[in-house]
Amino acid sequence: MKYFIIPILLLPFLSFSQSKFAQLGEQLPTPNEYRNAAGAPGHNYYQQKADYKIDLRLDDDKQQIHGVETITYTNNSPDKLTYLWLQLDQNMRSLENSDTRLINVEKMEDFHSIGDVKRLFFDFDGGFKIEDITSSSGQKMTYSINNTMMRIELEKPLAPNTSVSFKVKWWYNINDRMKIGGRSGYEYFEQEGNYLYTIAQFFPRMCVYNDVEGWQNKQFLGAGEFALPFGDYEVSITVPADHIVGATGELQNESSVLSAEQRNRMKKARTSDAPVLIVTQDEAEKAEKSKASGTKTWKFKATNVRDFAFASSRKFIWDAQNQPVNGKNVLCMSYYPKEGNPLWERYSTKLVAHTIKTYSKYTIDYPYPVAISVHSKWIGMEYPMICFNGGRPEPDGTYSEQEKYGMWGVIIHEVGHNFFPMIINSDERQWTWMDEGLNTFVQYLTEQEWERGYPSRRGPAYLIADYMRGDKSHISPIMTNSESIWQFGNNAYGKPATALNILRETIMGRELFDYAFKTYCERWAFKHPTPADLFRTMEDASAVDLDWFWRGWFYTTEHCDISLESVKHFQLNTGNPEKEKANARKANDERDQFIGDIRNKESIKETVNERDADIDDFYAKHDKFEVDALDKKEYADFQKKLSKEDQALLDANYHFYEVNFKNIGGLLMPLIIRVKFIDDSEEIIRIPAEIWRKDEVNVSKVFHFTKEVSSMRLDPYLETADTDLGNNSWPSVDVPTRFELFKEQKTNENPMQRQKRVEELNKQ
Amino acid sequence: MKLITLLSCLFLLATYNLQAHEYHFAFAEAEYNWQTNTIQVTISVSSHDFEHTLSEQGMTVNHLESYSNDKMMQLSLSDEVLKHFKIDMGNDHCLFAFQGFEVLNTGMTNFYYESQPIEFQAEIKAFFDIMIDHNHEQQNKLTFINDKEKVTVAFLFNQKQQEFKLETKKP
Repeated sequence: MKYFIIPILLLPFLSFSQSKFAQLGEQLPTPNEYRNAAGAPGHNYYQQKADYKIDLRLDDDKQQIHGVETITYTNNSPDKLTYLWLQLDQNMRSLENSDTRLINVEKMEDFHSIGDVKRLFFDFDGGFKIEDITSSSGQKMTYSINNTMMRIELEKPLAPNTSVSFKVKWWYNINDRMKIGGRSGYEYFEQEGNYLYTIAQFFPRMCVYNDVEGWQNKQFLGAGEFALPFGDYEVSITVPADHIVGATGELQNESSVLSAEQRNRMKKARTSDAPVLIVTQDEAEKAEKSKASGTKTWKFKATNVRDFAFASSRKFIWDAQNQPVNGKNVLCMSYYPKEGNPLWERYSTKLVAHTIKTYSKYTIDYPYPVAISVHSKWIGMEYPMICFNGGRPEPDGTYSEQEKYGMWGVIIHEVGHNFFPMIINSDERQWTWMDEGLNTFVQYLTEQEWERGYPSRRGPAYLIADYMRGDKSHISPIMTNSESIWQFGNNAYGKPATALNILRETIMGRELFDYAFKTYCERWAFKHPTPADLFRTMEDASAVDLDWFWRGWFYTTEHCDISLESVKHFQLNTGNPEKEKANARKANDERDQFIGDIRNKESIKETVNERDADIDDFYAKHDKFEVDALDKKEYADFQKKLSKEDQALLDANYHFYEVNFKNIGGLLMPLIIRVKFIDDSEEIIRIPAEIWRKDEVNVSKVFHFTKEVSSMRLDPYLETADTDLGNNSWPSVDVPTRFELFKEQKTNENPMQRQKRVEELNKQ
Repeated sequence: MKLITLLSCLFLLATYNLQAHEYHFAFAEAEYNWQTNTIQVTISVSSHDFEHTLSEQGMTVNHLESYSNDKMMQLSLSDEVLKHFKIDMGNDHCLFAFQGFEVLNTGMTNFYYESQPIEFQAEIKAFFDIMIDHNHEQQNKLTFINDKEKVTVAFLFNQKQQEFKLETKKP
């Protein structure tokens, strides 16, 4: 314990550096009439519209898809357009129009199996075959293909606020998703000879033209997904007559493609709060045993969507239920083969319903009439109103807990994508994190409302610590283009989701965050937001300056490692000689003693001054801890100068602690300190990150308590993604490694074996 | 010219397209234990990624959690992990014994190892390339702990080995 002398002069910090707290001005685009400084659409915001009428034929014998589409493109921009750009995503698998394989880095050591070598020789032409492009008057139009992009020349420039219509005829070979991968394609069930198609990015689609990029015609290389304008779709899909089809939008010709029984079941499902089977497993198993010779055409209509996808198979079981969202009914549905059961019939549609309900709470009300989950082995991929999700039980129908959570997580995630980016329509080709990161964040909230203690893979701050610590040479800032990201999953999913979670739980608080986040979603629903629009809106709607946070978490790869360097304990000097001299005597008696002095007490029986009374003079006899008359007078004089409040402060017996913190990782974060007292009570202190504004490396803080402190712990609730918890405690506490934790809990019996022993014990 | 010996015949063609939502990260936490003079290691991998990699190598594997009570299969999986994780302390090569594994509901699987007793030396050479050859995006990290000191190094497709020196000797 130490005393300090009052009054004390508080010296200002001499060093001054504010680089990490500087405003983001230079990094963000200048606000303008299209996007304003508040982060909202500007007074002249515009976006283009692309409407499609598509006739499709699925060739189940050749695994091909043939289409004729009429696109009506409306130019709402203030610019004249002399040509149009369309996306040909399937050209990523084209033998003549793709760089995707060329840009893969390879070494000879990669080819250590025949399978690896076969990959080198593997030729599959899955690119678009464009047969014809004609204008509305039937004239052939000039076009040029540059890998995954196609430019169509216009006969005359498309003026602002005018439209142009043209027709594109095309086909392509559908990829075997199980062999060569892909977000869409088919799965072949060899034993039965059946196919399950999940078809997407399957038609030439208009690129986005806007105030940010002009034409967003950056090539599709495989990672950066899609940037698409909104529009209305009318799509007819001709498939084998025994196929069941699920697609973006509402089915328009139920009476032509469904049986009377199926229509009755659908009617019941529309008002049911639990899944109702439209096609049962028995019916699906019967269908997959034969192949119909004829075809049926399923017709769908979707309004104000940015894309269209569908699934088709004779293997589909189909169920549906209603989910009200703010008074509007949403038909939630699942399509799955028998291989998905028992997981899918039990959970899929309920998860769809829960997801749109929960996301609607945190973002905007789900605006579409249907929401669909389709079972598709291994992957998870999203499109408007429909998504393809993995989670397949073992062939014997059993499944592990991990498989169950994997399936739950992927369905929530992919259905959640309806909001990001299908409605809040960011540019995925440029910024993967804007949809994946925001979606993963709301996925976390949704998972926690599905099951208490849900083992979410991403979201909690402590789960990102392993990724963020250490060597940064191959980690990218979040603000990196989609195709150039190191570590896609952690960078674009995990880290932004964690950052938003930290904003919500630690920096802004739930109320401010939820309001601001919802404001962003409402402002940019059915529009094209950019990162700056998010950053600005979150500040604009909350009055919290977050520039330092965006800078640290989104523009750098710094990590959080703040150490609790030292703690010094002080108490006020009361000036009362009776009290202070007694304390000084006690401290003197308790001070460390030299070993020689201790031994001499025993070994030297009598010293000279103990034997000879004349030796000790004034100094030897003077007791410096004794209170004399002068001490008392000085104290009385001191007391006369004190006010009642001053005296009360001195009498309160406060304990003061000067605590020193060091920012080792570089990332600025708030200081959250749990203080435990000797009576076992505790207190949480939260200090905003702005404490670092004038010194980004070392800060100190003085706390006062009426009780003595027994320990302090930094980040006790694991909310700052601190990568080293070993330097967070005073007194120092060893943090067990994962190995040590495993050894502590290691047991040779599994939980079921242990349960048996418990049951046997209970019988006794 | 060099001759290439192919290890296995696979019928499954490796994908050259990225899956939409990959993980592709593995972590190792290693600590020198001064009581036992051993190195205790936890290797964390994405369960799905690891299963997928094993399938590509021609190993027929179920989900990892199905081997919770299958010691033989656990050892086989452990051998596979250890092919891709090696530590030398000074000139001494660490021999690791498998201690167990846990499949977590978060989608990660932890493998636990302890080395035979080894004299502490500050110079560490580490090799950690699990799954890297099967996905060049894979990135692995090792955090080596010695008393209060922690060193974290990253391993990549073109950087499968790292050397570093610990500053702390005996605590």
